[in-house]
Amino acid sequence: MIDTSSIIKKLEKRLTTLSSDIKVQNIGIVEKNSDGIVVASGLSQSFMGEEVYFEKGERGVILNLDEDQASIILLSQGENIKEGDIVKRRSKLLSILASEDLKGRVINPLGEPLDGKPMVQKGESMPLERIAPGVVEREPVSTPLKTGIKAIDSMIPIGRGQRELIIGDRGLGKTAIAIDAILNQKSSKSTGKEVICIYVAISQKQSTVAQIIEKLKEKSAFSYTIVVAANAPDPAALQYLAPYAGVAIGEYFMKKGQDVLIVYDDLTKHAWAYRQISLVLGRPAGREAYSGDIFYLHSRLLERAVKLNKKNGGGSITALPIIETQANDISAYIPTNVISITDGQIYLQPDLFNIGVRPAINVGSSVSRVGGAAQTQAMKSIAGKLRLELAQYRELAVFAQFGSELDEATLSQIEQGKRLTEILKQPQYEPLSEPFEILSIWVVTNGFTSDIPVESIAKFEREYHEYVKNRNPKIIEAISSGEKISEATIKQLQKTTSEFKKIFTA
Amino acid sequence: MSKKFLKQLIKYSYKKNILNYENVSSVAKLLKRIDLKHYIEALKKQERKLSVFIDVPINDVNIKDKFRKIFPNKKVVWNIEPSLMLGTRIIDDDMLFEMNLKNTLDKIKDSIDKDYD
Repeated sequence: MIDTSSIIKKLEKRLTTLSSDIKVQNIGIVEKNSDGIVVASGLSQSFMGEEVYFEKGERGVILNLDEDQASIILLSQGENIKEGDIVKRRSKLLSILASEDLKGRVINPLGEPLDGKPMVQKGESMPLERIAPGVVEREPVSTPLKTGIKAIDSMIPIGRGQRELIIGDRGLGKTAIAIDAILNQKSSKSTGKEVICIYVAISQKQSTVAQIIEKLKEKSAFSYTIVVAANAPDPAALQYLAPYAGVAIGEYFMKKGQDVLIVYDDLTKHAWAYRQISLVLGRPAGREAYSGDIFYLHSRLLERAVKLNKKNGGGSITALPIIETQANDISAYIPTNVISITDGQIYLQPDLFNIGVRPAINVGSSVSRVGGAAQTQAMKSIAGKLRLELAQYRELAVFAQFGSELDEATLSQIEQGKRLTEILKQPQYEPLSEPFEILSIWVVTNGFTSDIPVESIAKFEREYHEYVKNRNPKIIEAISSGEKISEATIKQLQKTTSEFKKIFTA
Repeated sequence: MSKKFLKQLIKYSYKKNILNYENVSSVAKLLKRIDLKHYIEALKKQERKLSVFIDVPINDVNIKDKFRKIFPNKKVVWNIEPSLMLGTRIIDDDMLFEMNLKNTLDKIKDSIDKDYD
């Protein structure tokens, strides 16, 4: 707060310099306005990605610089912009104000509120376009980012600073996985190292975004989440900028040493928006009419997901980009691009979804290239067996389809595989903490469920968790440490499980 | 029509920085419709480059004379803009020079907005 005398002093100072107060600006003249793109002559001193504004207040960003003209993408509706209008430079890259106040807010890529609350006025100005941190500033992924989904945390583990793609056809639960991962970060809040979540909605239906926000609020996950939305009716320019705005906000928190989880939902629509802009800008069209820099568009975005070393604060950005495939085709242009950029993918398969395996993750085609190093010893010790048994089951299940007679060992392996598949099923919005994930997988891989009917596995799991939690909380504590499960704990676990089985089967 | 050729045509259309009607007519006769469109656009741009647009709050002959001396080689286009509140606004090619009370008041307002918490 400044006092009255300071204001007057400032005004007096202004008055003395009034005569020399000349404003010099480099300007442009609008020549063409079509499909959200304005072509202006002049602007000889402007630079790529610079923010500009028009006489009536509309904003734009320079995306093409030619010899004597610049192409500007409009960040709002531009019906009022006409030929001959003046466009002025802001002399800075397009930026967004980032601060703690953004938590629990819904904003557009320009930082304007979409939730009816006042605009965040104070904060650090973060440029939307920025070079990703170099190798010197980074360190390898080593800390797990738990999603609370058994199949992912055990077999496709994600580490902080990793980029894990979620890929699949529409309606298979891609967003559900990402939302579950956000919900599961609630547990990180209690441990003191809060993970800030950013959900970037690109060209989504407004009703879908509203539903997600409602769910986050309902599950008390909105207080640490920021939603950046450029919905379906918004201009393509905003849809193109949305993920960059999201990561710019993420970088603000990362700089402060915090961990960030960012979900890009989805990059297919982001590529579509960029294709539209590129075609209107008159850039040469390449494969599937995308412009030649479509790979760079996503690689420069995803490279900003990083784990910084201690010297640089130790913060991280973990990215979960989503790609929607058409007719299960992961060999299309954008899916292959993003697969090659990311550190692994979670592949959702329609066949699995249709037979009731949810999340419909195909563990055979899914992979995490760096997450293994981030897995806790406890999880690692049980996950190896799970992966092996599932692989064997998949192989044997193919033979079983022929209906030929099978020996007892094969039959028991198939039965075990069915139970493993069943235990990996998980309802939406119910992420599990790691000790309970370990309990579920351990109990099946150690043969305790071989005499439980497959259809009762879900009930068995639920009641088993309750039983262990109430009767022997020390086991949960021991597993929570993340260290390899000791012999003593295993013995306790075996004893408790046998007791529970007696009650359950009685 | 290439950009280089268009530039040559524009150069040919001017004599001592003044648009020459005969030259323009001779060029225009030879051009196709699409090329003629580009030629007109380029002429407009060139005209803008050779002109200076000056906004002043009042119609004062003395001021006009002074400005003409500042820009001897340019065509001056005048516009009376009372909202400027003292001072002037000059647009020379793609440079805007503003020196007026309104601009100063705007700056003071911005400065107070920034400093006042």
